[in-house]
Amino acid sequence: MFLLFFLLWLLLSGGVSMHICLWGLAVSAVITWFCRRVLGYDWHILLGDPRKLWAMARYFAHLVAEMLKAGMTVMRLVYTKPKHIEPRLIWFRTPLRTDRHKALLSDSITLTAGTITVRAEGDRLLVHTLDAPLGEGIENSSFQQRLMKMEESPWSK
Amino acid sequence: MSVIHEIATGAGLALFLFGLFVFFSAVLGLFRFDYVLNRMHAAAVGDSLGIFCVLIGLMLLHGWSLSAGKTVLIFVFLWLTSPVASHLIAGMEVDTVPDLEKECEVEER
Repeated sequence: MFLLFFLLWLLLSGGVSMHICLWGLAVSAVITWFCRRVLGYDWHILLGDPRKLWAMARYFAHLVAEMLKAGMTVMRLVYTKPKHIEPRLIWFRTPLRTDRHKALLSDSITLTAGTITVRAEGDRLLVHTLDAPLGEGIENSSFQQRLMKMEESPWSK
Repeated sequence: MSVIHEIATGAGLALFLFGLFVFFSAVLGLFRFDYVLNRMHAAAVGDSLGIFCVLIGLMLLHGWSLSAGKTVLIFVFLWLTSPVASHLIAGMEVDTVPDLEKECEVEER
């Protein structure tokens, strides 16, 4: 987390000099301390298994591709048949167990245009879809399959 | 070297213009759909596809520099916050509308 803040500082200050680095070290140390002690965050994103990082990177690449595809679909809907869509609200159960993976799944669903996660209660998710075909197979989406694989793998905590 | 630069500039301009078109479609969708939850999907197109095209276009136009890194930061923060915001708005709408079944089918799977 310290490293993350330091990189952010370097990026925002726009140069690497002695002065900037020293101030950056001081500021990121203070902010890291604040996040740990006061806000109670404890991140180990960069310390994880390299296979985990690779899986995350692949997941996000897949997410971006799906977002672009869904964006195109919804854009076509805007032009072709805005009055004849069949919006649905779908309750479904997700087999994901940890809150972190559930949050990732619902964030992914919301980020892809055409589907919005409305409610999450326990292992049930309520999803609003713009048109009926967009909601097909939502209870076993590619995001969920990938997340399940990540959850089951031994290196994911 | 200059050929690559020309290609990058052209691709950047094309992506930028396409992103503007996507935003235009998103705003058009806001007017053409007739219910809050449907309109949110139109806005989500601008959030994902539009932002992606415009920012990638800007990165190509600027070239490999510090501002490209800052553009990536915009991606991170926008895509972290926008699903949370739309989730809250959609939840509020579903909670407060009395006749939800008139607007869309509710289905259990």
